[in-house]
Order: sequence, then C-alpha cells, then structure tokens
Amino acid sequence: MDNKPTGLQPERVLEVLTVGTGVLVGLTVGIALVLHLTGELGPILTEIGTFPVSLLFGYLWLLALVGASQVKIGTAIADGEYRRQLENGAIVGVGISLVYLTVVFIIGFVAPTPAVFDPASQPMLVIVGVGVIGGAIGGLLIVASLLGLGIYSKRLTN
Amino acid sequence: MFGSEYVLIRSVHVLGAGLLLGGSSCLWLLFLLDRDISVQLLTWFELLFWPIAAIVVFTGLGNIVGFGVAPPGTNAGLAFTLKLTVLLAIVVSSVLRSLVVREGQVAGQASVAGAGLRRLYAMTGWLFAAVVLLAGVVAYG
Repeated sequence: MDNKPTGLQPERVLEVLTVGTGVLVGLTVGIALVLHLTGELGPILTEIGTFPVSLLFGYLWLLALVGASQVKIGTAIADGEYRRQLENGAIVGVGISLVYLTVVFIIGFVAPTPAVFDPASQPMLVIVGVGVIGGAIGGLLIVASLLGLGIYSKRLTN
Repeated sequence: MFGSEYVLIRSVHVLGAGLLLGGSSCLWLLFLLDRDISVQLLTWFELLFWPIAAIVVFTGLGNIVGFGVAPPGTNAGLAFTLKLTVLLAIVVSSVLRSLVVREGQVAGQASVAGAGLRRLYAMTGWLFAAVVLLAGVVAYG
C-alpha cells in the first residue's frame, strides 16, 4: 500500500501562511510608514474609504498566499536549490504585479468614484513595464530575504 | 452608524493586538517555566498569529480612515512612526520565529527547548507591549 501523504503537509501550510501573510503585512506596514513620513497616508486612505480598502487588502492577501504557495523556502534550504527559488520569486512577483494591475485598471475604468490613479491619463505600457520590472526585483529581493531568514532559523534550531 | 462601524473596527484591532501580546507572552513564560514546549502548541499559535496579525494591520488602516493620523512632525505623529517601525520589527522577527517552529515540525520533534525560540517569543511580547504604549500616545497624545 502506498503510504505517501497527499495534500499539503502541516509544515507546508505553516510556511505558506507565514510567507504569504508575513510579506503582505510587512509590505503594508512598510508602505504605510513611507506614506506617513511623506504626509500622504491619511489623505490616501480617507479618499479610498474603508470598504474598498477592505476589498483591496483581502484581494492582496489572497494573491500573496497564492504567490507564497509557489515558493518553497524550507525545501530550497534543505536541497540547496536557492537559484530556482529566486527565479520562482521573480516570476511570482511579475505574476502578482500583472494580476494586480489588471484588476486596478479594470476598476479604474469602470468605477464611478475616483481611483488611486487614473489609468486613462497614464501611458499603459509604462505602468505595465514598471510593474513587471518592479515585481521581478521585488519578488527576487523578498525571496532572498526569506531564504536568509530560513537559513538563520536553521541555526537557531540547532 | 458611523460611530458603530469604527468602534467595531477599533474593538477588533485592540482585541487582536491583545491576543497576540497575551499569546506570545504566555508562550515565553511557558518556556521559562518548562523547558520543553509542545511543537503542536507552538504550531497552533503560529497558525493563529498570522491571520490575526493581518486583521490587526487591516483594522489599523480602518482606524486611520475613521480617526485620522497626526502629521509626522507632531508628538503623536512621531509615536505613530515609531509604532510602524516596531511593527515592522515584529513582522520580521515573527517570520523567523514561525520558520523555527516549522523546523521543529519538519524534524518530527514532539517538543522544543531552544533558547533562540524562547528569546523570539520574548521579543514578540515586549515589542507588542511597546506598540500598545505607543498606541496610547498616538490616540491620546
């Protein structure tokens, strides 16, 4: 009889939840800090409103969890396959960036209220280009940081 | 309706932060009292920690929409800057803490007694205590 476990392993569930939520919460707090220091945090959040902020946060959380499920920090450290996971991080960063931008564009075009930025007044290719490059660099840096934390976590365990 | 909506958001925010502060402090005390702590217990805490942390941050944004935020040049604004900085430290140290617990799971350990893990729970508890103090300054000046 094949006793190979099926579905997500408990340690994988913890890793995906930690990576996905940790990255989302860290980025949200970091961006909030930068916006606060520039004096734009209050006005931007008030303009968007509570309900759209809730939807945006929930949507980003889902994206972050799906993205985290594509990156295997623990396995990468155990097997030494850092490069593959760094590539995965860059691909996931681009994917999340494109999915996010697509939805923001759609909402921007159809929403009756003013959007965070008005897509009609921005050169589409520039935004997509910046999103793709930013997503790739961001994904790469995030996975590199997580690999660093993962390696350190092994040292703390031993 | 306006009042009740933001009172609910603030209540969930405070309750969530209280759970994270209380939970991490209790686990730190358990580590001090008994060197071997069940990996299953720590896993449960970590699995609850992240959704609650996300809700705390999300309701924190709702708080800002409802009650506003002081400009960075003021005392309350400086306290808010410090609060966000401490929150960032909590997030980074908590990712590390969860990954250490994950290592215990992978190794198939029933319990752990690591000094590193004990310090990480202590750090989370103390940093959350600092956040609560800073939140008081942000809210009441």
